[in-house]
Amino acid sequence: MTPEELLRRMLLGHFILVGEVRAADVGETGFVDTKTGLSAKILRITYFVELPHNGAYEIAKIIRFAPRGVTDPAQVPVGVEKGRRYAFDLDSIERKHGFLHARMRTALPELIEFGVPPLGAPAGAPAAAP
Amino acid sequence: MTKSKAAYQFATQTLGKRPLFMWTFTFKEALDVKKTRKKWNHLLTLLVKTFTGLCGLRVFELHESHGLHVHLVTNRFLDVNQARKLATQAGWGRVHVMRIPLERAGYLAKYLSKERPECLKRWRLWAGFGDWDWTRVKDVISDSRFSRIYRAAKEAFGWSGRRGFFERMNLATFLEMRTAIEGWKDGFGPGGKRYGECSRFDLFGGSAVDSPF
Repeated sequence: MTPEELLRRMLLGHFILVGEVRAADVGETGFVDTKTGLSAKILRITYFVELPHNGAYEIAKIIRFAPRGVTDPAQVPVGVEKGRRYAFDLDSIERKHGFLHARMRTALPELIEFGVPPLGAPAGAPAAAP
Repeated sequence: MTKSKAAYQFATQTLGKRPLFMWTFTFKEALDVKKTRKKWNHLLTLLVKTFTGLCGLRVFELHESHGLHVHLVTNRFLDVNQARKLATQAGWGRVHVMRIPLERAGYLAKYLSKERPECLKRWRLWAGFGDWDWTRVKDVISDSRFSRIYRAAKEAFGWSGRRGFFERMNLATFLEMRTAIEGWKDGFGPGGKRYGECSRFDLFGGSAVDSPF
């Protein structure tokens, strides 16, 4: 996704958060009955994203649920590479326990392709790789 | 999914191995919720006395126009004419029953997903009855990376009571992020060390997190 496309989507009303991925994984989350051992679980993809904030940064936790019926973590695409900047199309966001927690829609995060060095990058820095 | 809904679904799975019966008890006219609850207690007492060994689950549903009514899932056949007689005796109106396959027993959980009306605040929206050991909400634990980390920290730092709850949540949230970013095992610090064996720097690095220990 180019910055122009990103801006266009935001102007259309999409709620998008952009940040550099620090970690991402697929894990099970749910409930367990300690009496019978029964469990109800669903696969969840979690992204930890670094957001620049006036010279400092903070980490946001963004979650996305795998489609119902998918039980194998290997079948769930994470869709990101650590250290690169992505756009996350959000469903909701809140500040909880001192950290940003967001929930994504079903679409995968989209890599931001900069034609020029990103805003705030040191002078002479190369453009981000596509 | 809420913990209560999960507990209800686990309870339905242990109710029986045979098809179940779903009953619906309604009134002729809408009554207020307190009166309905009183009448439900009366009817349940009559049902349990008449049909020995009766057990199951009940769910309250607040309908927009019909007021509060009760859904019941039981694991044995009851004579509907006798049940109607008892319902009339307890002041109830229409009674409906249908057989449901075991896998659809969790169907009533949909009523637990609705937003809880103000008049049902602090009410048990569902409960078991009869002589069987159903899953209570307290028997259900959350299983996620965050909950595993929280439990490990609770054990390591000896957390108890409610004091410092928000600081603990902040700390567990921070540790969850650190665990994912550093690639630690859930509930353990660097090098697989327990939280209690880690130094402050091991766990928090240079970050300033309000820690309750």
